[in-house]
Amino acid sequence: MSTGRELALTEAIREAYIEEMRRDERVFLIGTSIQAPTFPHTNGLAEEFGEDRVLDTPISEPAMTGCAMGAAQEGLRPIVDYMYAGFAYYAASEAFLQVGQYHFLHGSQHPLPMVMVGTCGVGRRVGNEHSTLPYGTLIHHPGIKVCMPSTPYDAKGLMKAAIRDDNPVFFLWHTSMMMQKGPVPEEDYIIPLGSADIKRAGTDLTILASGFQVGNALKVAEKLSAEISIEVVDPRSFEPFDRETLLTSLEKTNRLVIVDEDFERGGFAAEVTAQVMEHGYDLLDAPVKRVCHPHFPVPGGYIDAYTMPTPERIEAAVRAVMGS
Amino acid sequence: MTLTNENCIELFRTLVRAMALDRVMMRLIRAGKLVGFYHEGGIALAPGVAAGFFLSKNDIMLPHYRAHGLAHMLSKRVDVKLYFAEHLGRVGGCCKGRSSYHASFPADHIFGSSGNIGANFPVSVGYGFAAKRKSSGQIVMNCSGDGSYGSGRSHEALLMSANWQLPIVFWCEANGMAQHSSMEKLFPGPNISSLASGFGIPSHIVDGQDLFACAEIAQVAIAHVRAGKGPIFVECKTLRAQEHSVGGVNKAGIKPRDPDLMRRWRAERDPERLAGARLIQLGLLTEKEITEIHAAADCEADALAEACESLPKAMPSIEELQSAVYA
Amino acid sequence: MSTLIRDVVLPQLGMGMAEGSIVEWLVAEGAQVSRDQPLVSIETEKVVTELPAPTAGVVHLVARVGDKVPVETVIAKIAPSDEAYRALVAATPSIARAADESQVTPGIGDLPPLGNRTPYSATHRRVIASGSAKALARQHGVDLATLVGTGLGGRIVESDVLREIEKQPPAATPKSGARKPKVTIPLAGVRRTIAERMVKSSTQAAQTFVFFEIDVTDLLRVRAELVERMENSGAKLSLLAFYAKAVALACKRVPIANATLEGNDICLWDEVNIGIAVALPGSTEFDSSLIVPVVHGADSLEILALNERIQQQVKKAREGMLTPSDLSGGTITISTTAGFTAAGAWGVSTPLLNLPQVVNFQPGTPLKRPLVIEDEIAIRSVLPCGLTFDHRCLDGEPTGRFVRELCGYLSHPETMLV
Repeated sequence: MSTGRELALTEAIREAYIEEMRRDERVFLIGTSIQAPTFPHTNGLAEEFGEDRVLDTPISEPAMTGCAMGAAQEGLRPIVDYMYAGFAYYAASEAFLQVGQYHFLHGSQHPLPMVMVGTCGVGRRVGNEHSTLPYGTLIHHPGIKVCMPSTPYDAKGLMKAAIRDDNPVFFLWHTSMMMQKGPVPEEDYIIPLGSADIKRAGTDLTILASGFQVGNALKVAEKLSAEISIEVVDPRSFEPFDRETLLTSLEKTNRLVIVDEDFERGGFAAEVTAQVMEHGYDLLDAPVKRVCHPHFPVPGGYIDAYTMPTPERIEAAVRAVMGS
Repeated sequence: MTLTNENCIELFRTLVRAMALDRVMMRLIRAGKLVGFYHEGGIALAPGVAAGFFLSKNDIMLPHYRAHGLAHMLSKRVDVKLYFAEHLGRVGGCCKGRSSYHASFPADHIFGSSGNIGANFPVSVGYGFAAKRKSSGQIVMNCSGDGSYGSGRSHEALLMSANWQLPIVFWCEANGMAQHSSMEKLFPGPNISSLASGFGIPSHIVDGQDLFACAEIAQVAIAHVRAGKGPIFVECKTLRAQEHSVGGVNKAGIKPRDPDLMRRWRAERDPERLAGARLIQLGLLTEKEITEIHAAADCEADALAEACESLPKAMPSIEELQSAVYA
Repeated sequence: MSTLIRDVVLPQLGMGMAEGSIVEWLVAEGAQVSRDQPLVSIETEKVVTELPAPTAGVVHLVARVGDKVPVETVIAKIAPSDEAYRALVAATPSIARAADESQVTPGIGDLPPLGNRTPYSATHRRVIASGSAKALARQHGVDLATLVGTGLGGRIVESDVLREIEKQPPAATPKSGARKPKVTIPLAGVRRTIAERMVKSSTQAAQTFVFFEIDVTDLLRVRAELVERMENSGAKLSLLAFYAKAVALACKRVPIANATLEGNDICLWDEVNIGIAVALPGSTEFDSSLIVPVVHGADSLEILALNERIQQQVKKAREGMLTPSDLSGGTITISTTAGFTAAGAWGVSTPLLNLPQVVNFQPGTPLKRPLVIEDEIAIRSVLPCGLTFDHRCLDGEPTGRFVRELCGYLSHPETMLV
């Protein structure tokens, strides 16, 4: 690991793009207003790689996604950028269904290497469509890998893994972390999809948190550190999900709080809870508790600051689980 | 010109008020008072004023997001204070402080908006269908930018409204930009309205900086759809003399947009100035009267902002929100 | 015109903006500014931009050139007048977040303490138990570590805990201190045994009750005559002996009344071993207890021998000298309620079956009543009786026969001699 170089999360993604595009001719970017750019991760790319390799499209998500899918079938390696992940819902048939089912239904003879990218995250006061985190819905549909980094280091490694993966990968990044800085090595490295990371070791309770919520979990762990020892596990990938790391953590702690900024109903947190119940029932000393966005649309105004999972809500859940 | 003198003066006053409100919104966002983002109206508000001016209360309006629809709502005589309060996240906002920038005035047949560009199109089909089915004589004024016609939903709406001869005005405020991309790169042809001919829908092109030209064409379009002749497409060629949204870059793809050009636009193509000059030329208003209209508009906008800023922030409990999902 | 000091905050311009830096103040400290006048040049991650003054007034600069501050930090203040400005500067506020920044999450309230937990140890052996087992164990104070689990992989499940609970006596529950009873009698020992057996009897058997009266005028006369004769020998002749004889004889005539239910088998016995319910004092002066010594082979004993034997057993019971064999082998029970009612009052009750027996006969206290004898009213002595039978094993018909036999023997005592 190189010495002390820090990049913002979006700069880390950008570095992954640049390295992979230099390495592999077939990789190209397609999205809405990515040339200007809208977000920093595509800054300067059209200038370096050309406007025919970093393409602006009209506001046409289904066509963009279909374009990527067709191009991938013909040997290219596209990266589709929806700007906001919520806009991918307009291309739900393509992005949530078609790309995932293609390889399987057609005899597993032809891989579909494509990356879908979008930002998401609550707490920006911008309402439902600009906040929605789609991974609960994405993991429900077979055939699509899904990941979300919580550090610039993870961002670069995961994006490289996503680009090199021969399957559809939906890469999400949290809007509030756009300019968040962290150490990023200059060298080439991959973080394999399906590998979780222990962001903080502990022995009394496990918090499983992703994206922006990792920071909140660490805040709570630090605040309560005199009284209890909390282990913070970051799945990094929602699909494939590294259950083994979580179960190993539960062997130590026997208590689990899952923090998930997505809607509570039927999402990643619910899925993990079911899996832990099925595969690790005897590891639990207390019921699993979820801290999620409640089951109503993401409100705008000043409201989303406290309806989303906050350190206070996470701490309350930790205390409830320790006491039960 | 088919507009009456009263119309002209009132149109002008409405435009001045809309631009004053827009300036106040810019001040508020720079003071950190607005929730969410803001897309400055700048010199692009004449089409919005024209679009709403001749509508009756029952006609359905879908505002364009430029200036967050303030021009459209103002000219349709909606109480914009409720929208201001909403955008400041206050109690008393039109959506209970819950939406950030969604305007919803069901009694005025402005049913809200979406953060998704293109979401206006499918519902406009619904409004047109309902109007036709009810034989209510209502018409639909669907305002959006040229970028929005990139969405397949717009084509579906053109198709369905043409099939069913729905009373929809597709009012396109074309500024040549789709966020940070130039429409030159995103559309094969100089005029978005050429889409309409593919569906057999008649279209008009008008200078979007000319308030009175926009208003006249609005009258024509409204008469057309109200007479049951099916949909119509109006393309107002307008200008965006600043970045897409406050705090964003002002580029078209990789090219920065020319700041000198934009300064010239603001100086020479400001619809307020052009309309005012026209009114003086026609002898309908004096310089003094125009100054007074400006002063009154600024006063009104300031008072509105101050009134809304003093309202408490809307901070409902999670329980209250949970019971607000279903009717 | 506002009289308040107005905060100038670093606004969020652009989605990703988390902080900005002050590039240049465009006005001097203490300058008078008009609204919308360019105030400060700030740099965000995207661009350098100017912020205008949100209101007119006198400016006090808070942030310094070069400062990097988070969004919504107060970077300057605008006072409405010179006096207000002077007062403001005297107080010298430092960089702080804007006043209305607290976003307390509603509904959190007071947080409970974290409580004790077992310190982690890599060698610590956890007890594997299901959620329901743990809850039940907690409720009843059972130590899970002492149990062996019968669930998958040795998991302790609910039934394991239930079994443990049934073995243990109930834990003494500490009193809350608010109200204290006058006396506390623990449901333990003999009392507990009686309690368990009564519950078991009343819930497991199909108890059915029969009430009837027997004309014992002749019986009482016979007894009285015998008592007179026996006055010299010192033995007391109780009615119980006659009841026992009648029961034994009736059992010979209706053998199913002399049966026990062993598992799924109704076992009819040759010998009639009659249990005699004896009331005893309880563990304290306030309570009582009950014991049922058995008179074995009552069917082969004459009335006087029966009487002697019954006296023996009752004495042993009262002296606490009964042996286990005295208490076992009973096939039918007599629980007398003699003395339950006041003299001259009629009363029966419903004795609970002494499981595994199938009949419990309860003779009451004889009393004088007018009866119709050959169409004439006569004053006779009547014995009110209750009899409980287990409808799982007997039905009304044999029970009726048994009752009739009893009635026959006790109303015509001479028939017991042959």
